[in-house]
Amino acid sequence: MKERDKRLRKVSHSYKLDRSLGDANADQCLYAAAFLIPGILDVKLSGDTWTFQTTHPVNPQLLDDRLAKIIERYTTAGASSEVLMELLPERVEDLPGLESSETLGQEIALGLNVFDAPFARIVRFLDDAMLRRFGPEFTPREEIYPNVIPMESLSRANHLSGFPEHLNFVSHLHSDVENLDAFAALASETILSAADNSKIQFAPTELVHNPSTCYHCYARRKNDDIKMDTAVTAITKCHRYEASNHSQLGRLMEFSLREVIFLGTPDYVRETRSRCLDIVAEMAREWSIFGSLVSASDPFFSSDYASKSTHQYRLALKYEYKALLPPHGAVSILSSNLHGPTFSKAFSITQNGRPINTGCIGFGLERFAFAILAQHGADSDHWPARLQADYKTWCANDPLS
Amino acid sequence: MDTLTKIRDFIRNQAKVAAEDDLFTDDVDLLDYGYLDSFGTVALIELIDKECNVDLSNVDFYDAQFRTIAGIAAAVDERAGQKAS
Repeated sequence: MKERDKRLRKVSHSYKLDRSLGDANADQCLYAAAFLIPGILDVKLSGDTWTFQTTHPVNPQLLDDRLAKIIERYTTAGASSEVLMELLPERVEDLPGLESSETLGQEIALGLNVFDAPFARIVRFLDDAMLRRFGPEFTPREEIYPNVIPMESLSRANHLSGFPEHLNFVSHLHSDVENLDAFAALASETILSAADNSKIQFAPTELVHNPSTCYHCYARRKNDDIKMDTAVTAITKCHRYEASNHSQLGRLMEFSLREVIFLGTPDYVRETRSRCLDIVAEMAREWSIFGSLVSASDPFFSSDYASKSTHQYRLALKYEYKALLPPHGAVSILSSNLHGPTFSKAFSITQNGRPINTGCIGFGLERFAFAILAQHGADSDHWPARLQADYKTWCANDPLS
Repeated sequence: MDTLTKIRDFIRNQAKVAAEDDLFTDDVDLLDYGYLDSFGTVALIELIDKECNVDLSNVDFYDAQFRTIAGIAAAVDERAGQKAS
């Protein structure tokens, strides 16, 4: 049984609220509604009617007040998305879809999956394939980063204030032998769960799971003066907590994020972004990855969403490839971002004494694999010719194949 | 105070530009070099509306000509002139 179904069986309370979206962004509101109060298991919107399923009784007025706040937050001044390219199948209904696939692994907790072959192999193939496409073009230097990052680094980058809902903190036990012995005794007596947290003394949190790979790249160059335009690549496991939104296919709490990061003059960063988008469009066409390359904005959770979102759209700071995930919906499998001097200022990185610009392109490898399986099925013999050829060539040299 | 000075002073204060910052000129790209961000842009539009009685919608504001102090000042003066005539 899927984790979502298990959770919904625990539903004891359901609330219907009537509240119009007005001009607000429906997807953002629906997403953010999962964070209104603790214990929301599911949110649905039909017309102006919102239905909340919760684990415990809540005050409907409180729920409605918070919903109103979120709708106001995500009402924007009409910035619209630009479609750079679109690749659609003749009939979406003819695509296999994910429900028919038996390769999606095991969901061990909401948003946390254990993946098996062939999914695991496809993820490794995709990482290699992205490096082959983007590596020769930008000759990035390779770096290895931890999967966690100091909270201080994310604070400098304004990530903590922009995306508080996504953060997953890391802690260890308070280093006191009495505390360690008490914990060990408790652990030997029972199977520990969240309900036991009040009996455990944790040390103050200093680390957060990476929300994105690229923050390490800026943090490690804090106070550096780089001598030339630079490209860097790294892959880490990233975490984003998305509450009940994890029940949607493709929204994993932990995922593999391969990034190529660019640091240098504004012209260099703009040129690399332009080339990145060309390579993405070329790859989508060659592999028949159905979807669209569109301008986007980050889902800022903060009250200044409208101005930040408009800024991103108007300056075309963010593009995403939204791949179809049949039978319903689409999922962003990669994003290309321009940050201007935001991160170089946050970490005091200069180039020959001048502030630099940064940009990045990031690939969510599990989502990419979901899209391939949903669009072309689990049997690679039936994949589009170029995708099939690339995959089989890679498999021929894979020691695990 | 002329429009150019008004806008230059506003951005200098808003972005806390150091006196010795020689990159900060009337022709520097304000967005590329971080002298204007989303907050600064909104605040500058409000200032221009209030002080110069010129409404620069967001759509106008992100055009290439608005990325420099000189470009913004010229556009504001041009719109103010059109209003006056």
